[in-house]
Amino acid sequence: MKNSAIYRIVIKDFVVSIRSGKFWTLAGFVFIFASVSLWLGQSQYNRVSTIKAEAIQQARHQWENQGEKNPHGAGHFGSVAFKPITPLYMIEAGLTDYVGEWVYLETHKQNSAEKRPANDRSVLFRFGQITPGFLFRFLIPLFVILLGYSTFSSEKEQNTLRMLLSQSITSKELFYGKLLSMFLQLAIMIVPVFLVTMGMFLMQDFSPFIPHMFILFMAYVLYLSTFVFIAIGISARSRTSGSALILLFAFWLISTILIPRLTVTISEILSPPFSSFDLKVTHDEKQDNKYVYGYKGRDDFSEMYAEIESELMQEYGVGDADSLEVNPFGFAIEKTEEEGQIIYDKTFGQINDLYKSQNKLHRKSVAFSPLSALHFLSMGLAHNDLQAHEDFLDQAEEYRRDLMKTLNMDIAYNSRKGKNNEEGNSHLPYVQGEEFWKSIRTFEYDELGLIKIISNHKYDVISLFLWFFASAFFANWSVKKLKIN
Amino acid sequence: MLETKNLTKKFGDFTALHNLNLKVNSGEIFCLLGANGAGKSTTINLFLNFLKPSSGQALIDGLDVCQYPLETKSRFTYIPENLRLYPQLTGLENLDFFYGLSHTQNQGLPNTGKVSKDQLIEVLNEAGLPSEFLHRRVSSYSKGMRQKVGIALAMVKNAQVLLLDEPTSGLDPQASNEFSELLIRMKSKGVAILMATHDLWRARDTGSHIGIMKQGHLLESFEATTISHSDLESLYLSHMYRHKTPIREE
Ligand SMILES: Nc1ncnc2c1ncn2[C@@H]1O[C@H](COP(=O)(O)OP(=O)(O)OP(=O)(O)O)[C@@H](O)[C@H]1O
Ligand SMILES: [Mg+2]
Repeated sequence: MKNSAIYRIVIKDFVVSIRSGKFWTLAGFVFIFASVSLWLGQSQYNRVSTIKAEAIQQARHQWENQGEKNPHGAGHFGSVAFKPITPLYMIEAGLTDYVGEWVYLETHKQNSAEKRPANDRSVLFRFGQITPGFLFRFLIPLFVILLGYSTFSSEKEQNTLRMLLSQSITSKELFYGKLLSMFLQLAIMIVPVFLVTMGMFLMQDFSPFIPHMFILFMAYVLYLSTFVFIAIGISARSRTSGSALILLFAFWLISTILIPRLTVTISEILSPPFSSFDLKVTHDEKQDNKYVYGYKGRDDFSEMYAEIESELMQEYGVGDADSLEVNPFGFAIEKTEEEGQIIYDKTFGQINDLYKSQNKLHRKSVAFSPLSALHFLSMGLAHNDLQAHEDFLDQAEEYRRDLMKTLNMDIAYNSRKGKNNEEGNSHLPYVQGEEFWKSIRTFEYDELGLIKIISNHKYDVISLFLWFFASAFFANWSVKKLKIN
Repeated sequence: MLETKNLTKKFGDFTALHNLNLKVNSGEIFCLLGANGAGKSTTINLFLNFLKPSSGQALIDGLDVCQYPLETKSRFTYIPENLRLYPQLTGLENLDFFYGLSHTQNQGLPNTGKVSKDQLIEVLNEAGLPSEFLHRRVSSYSKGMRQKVGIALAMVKNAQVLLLDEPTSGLDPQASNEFSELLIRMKSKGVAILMATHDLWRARDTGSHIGIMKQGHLLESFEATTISHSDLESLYLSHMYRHKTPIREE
């Protein structure tokens, strides 16, 4: 191994890089930034997860101790669904700060998510973006460029390339020597960050998320390798280090800042988002005018009630409404729920479609910017991207519908039996207590599985691989084309 | 041993080298003389495989340099006019690096053995690098010192061929004298040396053969001992002044 030309070139380049002083400066910066951002990430994670755990507990406590009331009253009292954060939040904050993290669940209404926990964030964390994700997406690629831009161009400028190419080495050996030397320098910068993160995950028993974290770091390696290849390729094609640096800097600027920003702006121009105010108005209109008192042409709740009552009398074979053992009110109120759901499915469907069409454009940008691909994938792995958000809302809504059905069916089947029913037809005097509230399960968010995440992000993964292979091909080709003069 | 057979190089319409035929046997120093643009560097770059011939062949130990670039490169050492080394490394480290590269491909050649650091130091001493510079970075070296590292590389590599492109231009008289002595020592060890130079005096003294080039043509070649210093000078100048266009069209 020590005798191979590749090994010789790796060591030579590494020593030259170290002696030129820039390597330790950059590596030191990575070390400090990574330490600070991991520490900040950990403390934010602790904060947010504590706040959430307390809020969940408090909400449950309120639910269980709401006192004796009619189940429909409990439906109005409502419950709350919280979206948990995962440990990868320490590395990638994603949309957590921008989309809601909890949703208020009540009868008759599908609410959109609220984002109260974000208000508690420290200003530094929200605006400074000091996260390991930021380091890996923006800064390390820049450092790779600073380490690599002169890898060939300086050999040309110093005229050492003439000596180098007059030795009996192949362009393949030269390519791999330069490449591995860059990887060695990169590894010294990022492997410690990976090991520390791994240690943090192991110590806190975040083991279910270690595969996610591992895949995230693999994605970082793919992404950063792309920059290594492009730096080598451009350096080999450039006459001077100055022109190589300018080209590489332009590439960095375009792929990490310009394209991601542009796609956001363009997608907003093409399909402007609803403001949450618009959203609320639309909801309230639909709610007031249409569904509470009926849908499908009915405009009177009592009309529907009568319809259901007669259906039930037929079903139970009784001639008189008072002798029904079930309460038509429970069924009627459940009916309004179901009809309301049709409207909400439509409204939220439209909003989702809008998000999706915006998202589609973002998704296309991954072809042009490896950063976008990496960003989407890492948010997916951290469970704080749009899909995770939608998935959370879907699960919360499913839970809400289930909860309301449980409450309504309790009225339907139990309100006319037993001690609580003295006043006949009406559901109102019927009450339930703590035991019943406790019997209703708490909302628990089921995170998307790893395979589902990867398949959601397959285009991002493909994009990262395509960038990797295309840039590797470019670097290899550039080195083969290396010429004297 | 190096040899060219009808070696021709065209850059577009311009022919930089016309049907060059020359042969340098081991133990010979062939000095190529000629004005700027005569085609001396072009000839050497063709041996280095930095340029591809338009027609003809350049051979080292009978091997075509285009067909066997690695094998032929492992047999020669090239010293350009201004030999550049890595300024961040010491002379010793530079020598170790370049020796390491040549060494790796050399299975079956005389210098397959591993050379120790002490041996490298010894060779640098032999090449005349002042010992206090061994461990200093090359950025502090003079041009002459860098050329000495180049010669040391040839010695440690046990190169059978030396390709030198104006190696003494810009050296002070003492340094170029030392350089010539090193060449004579290499010659006596059986190395075949091709040297492009403008130094008529030294070509006559050091060279075993002399060739005069003009506009891509080798006009004459002869043994150095057959001519005196002053005759060489007048012959050279008469060639340079005689014709603006090529003398012999082949
Ligand atoms: N890459 C190239 N493209 C076009 N023309 C070239 C190229 N390299 C050399 N030439 C031309 O070929 C001719 C021979 O150049 P060469 O460098 O071999 O001359 P030389 O004898 O080494 O001169 P000098 O004494 O100045 O070093 C010159 O006219 C030069 O302009
Ligand atoms: Mg020349």
